[in-house]
Amino acid sequence: MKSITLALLAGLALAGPAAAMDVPAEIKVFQFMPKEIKIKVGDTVTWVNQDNIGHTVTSGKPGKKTEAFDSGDLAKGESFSHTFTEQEIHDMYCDKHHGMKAKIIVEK
Amino acid sequence: MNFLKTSAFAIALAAMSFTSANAMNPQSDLRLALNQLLSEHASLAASATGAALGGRNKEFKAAADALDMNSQDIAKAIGSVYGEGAGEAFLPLWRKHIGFFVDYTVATAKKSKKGQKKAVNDLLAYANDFGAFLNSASPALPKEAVAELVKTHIVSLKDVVDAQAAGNQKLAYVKIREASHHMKMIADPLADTIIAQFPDKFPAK
Repeated sequence: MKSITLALLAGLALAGPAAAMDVPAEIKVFQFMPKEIKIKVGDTVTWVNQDNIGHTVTSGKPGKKTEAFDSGDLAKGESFSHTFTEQEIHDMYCDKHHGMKAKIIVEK
Repeated sequence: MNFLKTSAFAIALAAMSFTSANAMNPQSDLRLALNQLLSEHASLAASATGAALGGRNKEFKAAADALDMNSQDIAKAIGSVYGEGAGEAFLPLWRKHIGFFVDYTVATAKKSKKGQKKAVNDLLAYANDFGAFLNSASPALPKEAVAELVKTHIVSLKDVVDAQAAGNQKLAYVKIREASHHMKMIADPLADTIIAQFPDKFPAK
């Protein structure tokens, strides 16, 4: 029994932490898609603006912007990537269209 | 009052049921629903601004509430075509231009040229947002063309507010009719584009 447990532990050690993922997302028809993204620490999310007008990917809520990330103005076809390094839940919004909101849940 | 309730119900029903399998003619039902909803928007907006400028607070509150119910019906209609998320995204965008019109009306009542100018600039910027929204939902609708139609809508309602503020009721009602009729210029191409984009939802009968 002890040898089996040790073998399992060794296997886990060899496997190491899960590889970081690149997660695609988009901005379309004045919506963040998806509206809620669950990722792991170390993952990177990339948003592409598909709308024919500028949007931003900004952390926080309208009137309560946080420092975590801010894309600035993204024109049609432009993208913004952010790597999430802490376990946290982020609200996010478009600073030009405050009705556009989404959530990023970063898990260990 | 009963008429108002009945009318609002009929419009809400039309907005929600034009994709129904029981529709007599989905294409004409869509066209009719969009024309009704947008024309009602112009009329209720004029009722609200007239009451506000006349200091009739209870009437203003009732008109503003009815105007918001109309906004929700339009958002439901958009959601039934483009998806629930699009309807949810549309509502705050649509309400935004109503807020700018409230700003314009307040500035007009206060005779604030600066306030009027800011509200008009906000409304014109909004026209581009609205054009982008519909262009994204229906790429066959050019952003600039939609924005121009919305700018005409803005100017037509601005003319209503100006006439109401000047106490020229005759001109105000001429302008209200013009503003209401102009909504057809938005409703018809929107209906045509939706019909072409979603032929399964809106078959010809």
